[in-house]
Amino acid sequence: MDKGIYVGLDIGSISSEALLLSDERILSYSIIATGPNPHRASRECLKEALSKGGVSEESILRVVATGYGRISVPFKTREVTEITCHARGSHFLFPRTRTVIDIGGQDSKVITLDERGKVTDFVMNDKCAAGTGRFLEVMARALEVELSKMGERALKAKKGVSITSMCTVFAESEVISLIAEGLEVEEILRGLHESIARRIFRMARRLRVRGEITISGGVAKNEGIVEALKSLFGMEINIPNEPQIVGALGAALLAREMS
Amino acid sequence: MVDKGFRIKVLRKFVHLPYTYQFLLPILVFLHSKENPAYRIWVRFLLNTFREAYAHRKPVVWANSFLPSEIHYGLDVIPVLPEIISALVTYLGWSERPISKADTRISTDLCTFYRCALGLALENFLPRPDLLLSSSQLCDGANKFFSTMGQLYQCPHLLLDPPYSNHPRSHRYMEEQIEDLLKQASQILSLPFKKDRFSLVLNRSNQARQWIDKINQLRQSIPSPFPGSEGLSYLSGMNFYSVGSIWSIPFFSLLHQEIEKKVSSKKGYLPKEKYRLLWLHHVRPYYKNEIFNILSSKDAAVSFEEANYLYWPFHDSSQPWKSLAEKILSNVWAGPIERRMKAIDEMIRSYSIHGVIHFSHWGCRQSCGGAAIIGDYLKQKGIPYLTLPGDCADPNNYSPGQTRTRLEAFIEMME
Amino acid sequence: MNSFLTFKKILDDLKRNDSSCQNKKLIGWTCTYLPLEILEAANLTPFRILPEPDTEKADSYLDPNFCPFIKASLEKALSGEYPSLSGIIILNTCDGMRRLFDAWRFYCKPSFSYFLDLPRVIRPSSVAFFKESLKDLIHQLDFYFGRKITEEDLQIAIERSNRSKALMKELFSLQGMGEPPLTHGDILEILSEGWKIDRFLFNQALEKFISLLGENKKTCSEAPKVMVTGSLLDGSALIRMIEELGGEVVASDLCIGQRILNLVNLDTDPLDLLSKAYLGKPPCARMQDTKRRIEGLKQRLMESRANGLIYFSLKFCDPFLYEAPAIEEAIKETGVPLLFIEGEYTGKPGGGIRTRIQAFLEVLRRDG
Repeated sequence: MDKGIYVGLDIGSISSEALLLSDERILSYSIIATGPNPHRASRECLKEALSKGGVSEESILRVVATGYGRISVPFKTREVTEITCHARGSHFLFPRTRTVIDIGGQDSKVITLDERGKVTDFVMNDKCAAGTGRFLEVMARALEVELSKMGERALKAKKGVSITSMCTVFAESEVISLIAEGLEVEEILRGLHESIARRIFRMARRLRVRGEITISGGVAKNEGIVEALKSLFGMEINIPNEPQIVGALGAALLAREMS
Repeated sequence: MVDKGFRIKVLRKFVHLPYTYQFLLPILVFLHSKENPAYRIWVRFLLNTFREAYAHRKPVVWANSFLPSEIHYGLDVIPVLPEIISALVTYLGWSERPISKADTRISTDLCTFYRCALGLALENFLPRPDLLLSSSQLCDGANKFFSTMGQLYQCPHLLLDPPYSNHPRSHRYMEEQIEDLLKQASQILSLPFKKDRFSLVLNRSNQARQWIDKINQLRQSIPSPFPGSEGLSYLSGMNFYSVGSIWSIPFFSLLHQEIEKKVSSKKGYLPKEKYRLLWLHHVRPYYKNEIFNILSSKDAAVSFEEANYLYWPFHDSSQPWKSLAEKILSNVWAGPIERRMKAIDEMIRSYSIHGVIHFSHWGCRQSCGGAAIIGDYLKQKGIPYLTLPGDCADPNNYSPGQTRTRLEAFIEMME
Repeated sequence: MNSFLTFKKILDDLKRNDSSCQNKKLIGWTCTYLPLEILEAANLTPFRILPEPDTEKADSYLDPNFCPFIKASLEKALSGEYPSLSGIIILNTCDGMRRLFDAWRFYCKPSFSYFLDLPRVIRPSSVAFFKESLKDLIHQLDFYFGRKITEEDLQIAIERSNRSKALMKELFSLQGMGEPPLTHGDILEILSEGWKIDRFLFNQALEKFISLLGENKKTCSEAPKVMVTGSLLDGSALIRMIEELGGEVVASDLCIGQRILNLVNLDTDPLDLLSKAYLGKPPCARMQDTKRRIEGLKQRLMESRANGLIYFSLKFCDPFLYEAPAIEEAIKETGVPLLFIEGEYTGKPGGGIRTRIQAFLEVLRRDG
């Protein structure tokens, strides 16, 4: 076996990612929906990444599993939380990152790191879904808007309406009553995006945010959220080309570093 | 098929039958024969207390944990501590029903220990009180819960209302209150008011205190000889419930013996100990949960918990009211938060602590309200700190995935 | 122009012409059990912390399940919105206030901060203890602000404050007068203005406002009459909403309203009087005696001829939340309907609360 590879697997509540890393570079990655069985999802996304990268299973040296479903991965060398992985992945992509915002399906997190990419502190959202991808999903359904178009449409409104409820359930009924009041969907969307961003901003305040900020996780693709965050933090935010694979990348990097 | 209502009725019948506890005693003692002898005393202590409470052989007094237990034993009554009953019911996996029962009456944002106890009271599972005693120190909820019980059971309720300041005037006021309260209580319960008995109880309390102090010193050893999860269950239980009773001295001395054995053989409670943690807040989740297993699997020991921090000085048994006032007013969780910080600093030093976890029990204002301040204070000093939100009594408020991620990330951060 | 704006104009005019009060130092306070007379005797202006609802920053410093009023108070302190305060006095009201005192000191570092003990029971020993605590407060103020508070200072302050309370009582009795008629919401807003300024100025403004109110006859309204009680502190937004929905708020048992109008008589030692009067004022749920609270509410309901009672508790407010069922039972026994609301500290109550109030008013109308 001449060339070994390192695998990072990020099994999230909504999507799962696998990423293959050689000693030099990223070979391939895959993103699939997790579905009801994280065990199966981990096998499938690994298989997909292997075939994309044209490598065989035998050349795998180490596997680091992360994400909500990390305990269900059968062939891992080690498990590491997504907090450490997102920090490491973001640091690799943007070495000056000192703060990572990760908005995932059911959790959102703000992580601070040092110049080596090591976690110095973190906060997670409370048990409720406000300020997570799940919140957006619920709202997309309530407003009958396509999830992927939400952010774009939100930015069409000049001003967002203020959404006072923090709880997903209450916010949903508030949104419905706003529709009943005849407000524009765009304005409501903008208000919702701002409310999520404010929630994240609030979490970030518990930590001492400094240096560059990088956003990871699927929600980073939503321009509405990113724009709202930029204006709250008053600075640019690094957005990876493929924000969903940051966790898997971090995991693969950790697999490579293990001795 | 037997219907649920009928089963509850039968269960209630058994719960109220003193023989139940007499019958359970040998069985439970046998089942726990492998456990350490101190644990068996805890089991005996509880079953005996419940048997006496349901048999009503002496007056039954309900009190909250923050009222010094010396008061119950000095009055010579049977103390019932609703919070501890809630913790036990939770431990047995029965807390959901009483909590949901209570939710039909009061807000779901209140402390689940009291919601659980309220549910148990509404369903008439608890021994009927002759008197309610509560201290308003630290927790607003406790006091209002006892008021509610007073209305429910149509039972007199006496309050001890400790001031915030530790000024001499507060000590005088406290002494006055204690003497008043004890006189009134004796009168209501038709018990003779005996100052001597209090002196006796305070002497006992002093002896127990000596053992607690020794235990706490042994727990400074590396590796940690005694698990924090147990420090937060029967050890803190006995600390709040038994001090001043005849049970306290054998319990603490036997536990000391057990821990001493471990220390002299240099055996920790974990096979490998990499990190030593301090647990803040008096409580932990009592239903089945993974918190301590996750920590153990990462070689992280909960070496000490603030619940067992010894804050009060030795009693002067010739001046019982003064001594009790002293115990109450020296409480480090009352008063300005600097007192608690100072105690935490001391614990971090004495127990060679690497990281601190504050368990934020849903509905607790006094402890959780200070969590951020303490966190910032510790982080400034470079001590890793984690707020772990959760609920001690309601298993539906436990989120396994989140809890695991937080704990593991915390340990990874210390690596 | 509604009555509140008329008042505001009077006050602004007076402020412009008056320079005497402007160099007095402001002291922030949070709880109505604090005898303001003491601050006034010290030649300080008590400034009530009644923040706009906002908890953006404070969320990071206090627990998620924590009193929203306290969070909002800390919020304003953190945002530096109280730069003119020369100090703060917080009372041992509840668990939340203790932690507010900690957080305020820890994060905002005020130059003068004092925590006043406050017994939960009314007994000779507790009144004596409260008096001793007030004495200590006076010592601290003397020492810090370098001016000795004399018994005479206290007497004068008590007189002035009594005058103020009498004017406020009169104002409440004038509800319905004027054009447009003075409402309960107006009165609470007027009172809220008074918490921020010098007592003397406030008294002058009140006197003038009352004299201008005119002799317009009270119109006998058909609207359902409502009394409001609880831990409502965010100004008069909820009261305004009830009025807007067609209810007439006839009385309130709130710390921003009628819970504070106890006069202090002036026969003997001023501190004796203050400690007795303040401990004995219409109780907040943080006091021990629920029965006394119930009796007080029943009496106020009768006097004000309210058809219904709205019980508003802030979220996470343990004392008011625990007492709610007992009060509800006792009030319903008298045949008066009660609406219990557990709400946020927000200027604008949400749609759900609006619907519930509207439905409650409909119920009251049918009863009448």
